[in-house]
Amino acid sequence: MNWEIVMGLETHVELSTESKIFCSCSTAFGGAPNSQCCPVCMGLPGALPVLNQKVVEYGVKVGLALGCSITPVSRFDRKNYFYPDLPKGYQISQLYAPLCRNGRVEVAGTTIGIHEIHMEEDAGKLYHDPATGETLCDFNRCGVPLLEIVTEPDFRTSEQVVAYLKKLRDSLQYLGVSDGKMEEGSLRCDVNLSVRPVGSDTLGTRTEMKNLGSFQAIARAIQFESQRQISLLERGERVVQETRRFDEEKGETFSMRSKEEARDYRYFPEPDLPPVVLSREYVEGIRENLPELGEAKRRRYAQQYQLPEYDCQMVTSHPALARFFEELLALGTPPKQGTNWIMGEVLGALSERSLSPGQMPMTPKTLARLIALVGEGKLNRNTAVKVFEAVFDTDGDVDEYVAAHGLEQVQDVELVERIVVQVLEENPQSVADYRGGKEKAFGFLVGQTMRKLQGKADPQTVRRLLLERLGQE
Amino acid sequence: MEETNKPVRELSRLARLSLTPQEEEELAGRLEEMVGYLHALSQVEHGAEVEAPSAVPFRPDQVEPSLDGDKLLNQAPQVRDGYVVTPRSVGEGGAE
Ligand SMILES: [Zn+2]
Repeated sequence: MNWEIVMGLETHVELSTESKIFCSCSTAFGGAPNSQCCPVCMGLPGALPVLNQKVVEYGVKVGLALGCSITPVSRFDRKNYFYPDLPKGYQISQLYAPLCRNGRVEVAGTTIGIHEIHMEEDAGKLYHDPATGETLCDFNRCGVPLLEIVTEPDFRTSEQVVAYLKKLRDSLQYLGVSDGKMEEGSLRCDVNLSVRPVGSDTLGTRTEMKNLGSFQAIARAIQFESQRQISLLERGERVVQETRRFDEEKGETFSMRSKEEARDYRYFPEPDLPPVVLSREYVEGIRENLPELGEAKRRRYAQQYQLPEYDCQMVTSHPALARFFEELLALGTPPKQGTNWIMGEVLGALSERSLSPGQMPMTPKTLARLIALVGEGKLNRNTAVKVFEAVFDTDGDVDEYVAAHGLEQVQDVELVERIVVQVLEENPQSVADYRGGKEKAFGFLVGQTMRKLQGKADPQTVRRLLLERLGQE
Repeated sequence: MEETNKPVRELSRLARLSLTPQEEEELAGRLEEMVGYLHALSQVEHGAEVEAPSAVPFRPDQVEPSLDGDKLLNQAPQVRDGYVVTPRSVGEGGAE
């Protein structure tokens, strides 16, 4: 029998606000344990939550970018469960009236429906100490704002799932609402998966997979879990609805055997928070100011600047790079020159230093000047790369550096010509070799000439003059 | 009373609270009372919905000092290196 895999995704996005969702504690990483907590996020008696306006704004932005309709009056609910990562004993979330509904995203040639997006708070971090059998709780993450994005069960392949997540991450970064880093947990994805015979339109029993920390893990987990379910059904057994955890090392999913009652969340409306009432003007104001997202930029760059698809992909891979590229263009850099430098030297320098594009020390102005000097024939490409390396970390002054190190390209063709003659005289053997058909000898002569000119000549001019002379005699 | 005692026992077990029979009895009584209030609320006619407040002030996204760490940790029965210590729990938990 042929089987079809049916999947839906629940993705938690950690929003990059300064403060928590319902209190003014910092969301910064790396604080001492339990140093970013207050009576509100600890649920101490008498403390009242107040909603952070940035969380609403970010939620609406994401909703609009994913084609959702924004709920005019949305509400918060309490999701009750007993676990030490949640000192309040409940999580404030949205069940009955989530912020956004009914979106759609085009991904890898298919349409993925967005069921809803809701706002909620994160829980604390637990560390299990196997030596003592104790659990250590750090509540700093309690109350950090999250968006949960729930799709319809529209995925059929792991390629679609990964493409969706990459597109989502891209959108989050361009919207500036989250760094979208899966490795660091700011993008967490649960996959609901079931299988059914091809052609059937009823859904099979699904399992939910958690702890998927990378695109690769997701693809492997889907592969394993779908095979597991198919084997069960083919043996005439049944799939049990449950939560399963993916073990990266073994490449297998296993049951978390969570107790039945832990699933009984006893949701009820949050009495301490008023409904979130959003006017049409507010929503439309956000819609009008949505930034151009990665995909739109890629299309525009290809059309407007006739750039290869690969270049467009590379320079839009991070919003900071796209911004850098656009600023280069505004400073007069030819588009193809801009992408060449970004894809080559800039990305190379960033990766050597383990920096993200957002941490780039060099300003577009500096690189634009460097590219302009090459364009004007004042620096050759090789020298320019050396200057780039020298000024990258400090965003140093290109003109000053070139002047201080005497790197300006020799513009004097007569001087280059004199040196060429000299080199040919000093290396009669190489000249003879070249004339005898040894191509390599020509490279040697170019090298000798460049050396005498301290690398400051235009290699093209040197080649041309050498060829002229060698042809003459 | 037995009917209301059952959820109280179940919840106290989940919350890792050990209640004396007297405490159980007292809590069950209070729970009963609260269910009574909710019953009264459910009698309210539909359409009697409270008007949504028009302009609810949100909080600006600004960081204010948190609670002094010691003040918080003093509330916890057991602390180690700044962490609150609890017995190891079943399952994985976490926000979902
Ligand atoms: Zn707080």
